[in-house]
Amino acid sequence: MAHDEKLISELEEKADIVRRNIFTIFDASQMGHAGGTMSLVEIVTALYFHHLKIDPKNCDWPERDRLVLSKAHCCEAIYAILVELGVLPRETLTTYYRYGSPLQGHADRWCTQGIDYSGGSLGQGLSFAAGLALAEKFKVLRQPPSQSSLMPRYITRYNPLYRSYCILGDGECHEGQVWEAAMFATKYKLDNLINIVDYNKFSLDGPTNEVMQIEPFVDKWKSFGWWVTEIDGHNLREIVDVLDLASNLYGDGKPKCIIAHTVKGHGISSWEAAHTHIGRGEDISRGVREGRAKYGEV
Amino acid sequence: MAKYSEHVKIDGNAMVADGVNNGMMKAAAKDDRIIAVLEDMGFPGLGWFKENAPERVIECGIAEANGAVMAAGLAAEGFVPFIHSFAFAVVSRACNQIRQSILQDRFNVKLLGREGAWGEPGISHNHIEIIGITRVMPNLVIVDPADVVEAEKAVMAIAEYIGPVFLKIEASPPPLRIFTEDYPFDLGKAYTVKDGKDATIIACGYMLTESILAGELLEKEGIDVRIINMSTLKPLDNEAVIRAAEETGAIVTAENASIIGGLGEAVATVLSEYSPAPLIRVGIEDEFSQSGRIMPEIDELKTHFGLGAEDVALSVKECMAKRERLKKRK
Amino acid sequence: MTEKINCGKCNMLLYFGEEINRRLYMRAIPSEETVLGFYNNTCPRCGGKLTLKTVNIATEGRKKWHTTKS
Repeated sequence: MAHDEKLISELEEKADIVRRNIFTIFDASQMGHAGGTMSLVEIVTALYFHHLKIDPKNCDWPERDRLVLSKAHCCEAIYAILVELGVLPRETLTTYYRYGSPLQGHADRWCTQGIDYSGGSLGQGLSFAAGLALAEKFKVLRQPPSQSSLMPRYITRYNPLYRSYCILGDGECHEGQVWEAAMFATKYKLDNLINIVDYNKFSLDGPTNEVMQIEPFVDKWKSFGWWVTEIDGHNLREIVDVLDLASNLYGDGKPKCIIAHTVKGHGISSWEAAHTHIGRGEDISRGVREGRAKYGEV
Repeated sequence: MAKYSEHVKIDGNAMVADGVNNGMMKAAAKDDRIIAVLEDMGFPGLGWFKENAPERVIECGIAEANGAVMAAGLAAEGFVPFIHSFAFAVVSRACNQIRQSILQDRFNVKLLGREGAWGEPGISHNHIEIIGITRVMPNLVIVDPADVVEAEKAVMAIAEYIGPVFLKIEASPPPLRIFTEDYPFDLGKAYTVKDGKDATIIACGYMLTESILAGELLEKEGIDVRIINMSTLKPLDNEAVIRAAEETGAIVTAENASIIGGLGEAVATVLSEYSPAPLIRVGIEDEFSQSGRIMPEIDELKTHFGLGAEDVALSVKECMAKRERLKKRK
Repeated sequence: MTEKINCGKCNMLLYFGEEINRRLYMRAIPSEETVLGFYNNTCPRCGGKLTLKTVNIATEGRKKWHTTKS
């Protein structure tokens, strides 16, 4: 499905706004998971501002699409979006990491509106997303017959009640549990589960594939029985197209994996060069200054 | 014959697992949100599930970490998953998963852990640290039922309760059938099996059987011992402990688990904070378990660890002597 | 600090865990009423109506220390 230029340019503008919000967070906290957050911006922008079925006024809407951020240390990007959607007040941006703030250091379902999964310990998100996807299958099974008879059969067959999205980091795929969940999703034919891997090639100790080889990555997911595709994770048109494609494949009985090739610290030259994982102090201020010059002030 | 409370009628032996089976079938028939999450170790009442609700059986295979978090996902959508496997697998193997994905958000997941401190499988399966590991985690209710009737009622009670629960199922030696069918089980409430004035034995799980036998031994020597069944280890029934300390003044705890972090330590905390009294903890000292034969006439590990009725009776007498020594010093 | 909520009529345990209101911005369980709402304000065991007046709420632990305001 081709999207018009207008949508893409709108999303690009939104991505810049999200970046500005992220800089506000970093500027106030003087610390943050800079690299992983910047590599994620386009993906979450496309999800929240175009693709996901959500209602910012009612974050607990039972039929909303679930987004499980398994790499929960990069929650800065989600917080920036939730503020832009009006879920959280704008003042909270400057309270990240602080005592009493709704923006916890790692995403917390209990604390923050609009967060579906409390993460932090890596590798568990895909299992949780699989659980949510399985619950959707149960719920569809249990829909009262009166309701389904009113609805044409193809609607329930081609549209799930909700979809379950998961965002994994690449270093996270060293965890064995990711592959346990991958097997599980294939076994229960969770075609409403869409997994996006933010493949930014670097983890904290160095290049991901030197820390522990995860290549051949695509073949791994394929051999686990997933539908797999690769995209450029900073090209909004590709992201939007592939998300639509993966959603429209619902009904094929296969979980979907989108491997998004990204750059750690995307957009900020010093973070890109140093492959910054956690930035502190001067490292953060320098990046924020550069980012504000490039993407504009709030 | 000792004088027991009205809901106690000692009558032969029966496996705790049978009670869990019955309870699971009754609970699952009553509540269709209950989902059986298997980890390649079977499931209590699996036959019922297969016959009546095969779609409610989810097999995770030997992947406990995934099983625990996946169950949290189901619970987040309003289902009530029960996970069943060995205690070391369902809890210790997935400890971090349980902490972060289940307890942090207080999801309604029930953990059923088989196998207690002794049995043929040996050191890996005889998981004596399980109470200590779970008791430190916030939001978790821990239950260790003592006999077949209590196990059935406990499963039905935890299905009604909304919140995470760990239920320990003693798999190896069949305990006595202690309670009558109208036994009033209450989560978080201790039950006085037998009243007494000289000393108190607080026991949980399988050790209630040995404590009752110890009570009968002591009865012959003219010692009137109170026996309390502390089947809910968290939240602990502080009132019952304090009352026992004030009225009998000597307390022995009995558990077939490590004395570190277990029932003994929980009772010790309550005693030292509210009503100091001499205490002896009967349990497995700071060591690992091992394989041992379990037969009606000889239980090799029980003898090895000193957890028999005679040992409990001896500890009661020691504790009473301790109390007398303390009185004299005053 | 832990909190325990029991039915006032049959003493069934309804909630055990972290003290409600203590974890900041606790969205999932903002108050005791939410817990009672989980049970549709009816005790599953005795069928009695659950309101803040008919349940027993007990908290445990040190009540105040120097860092706590109010």
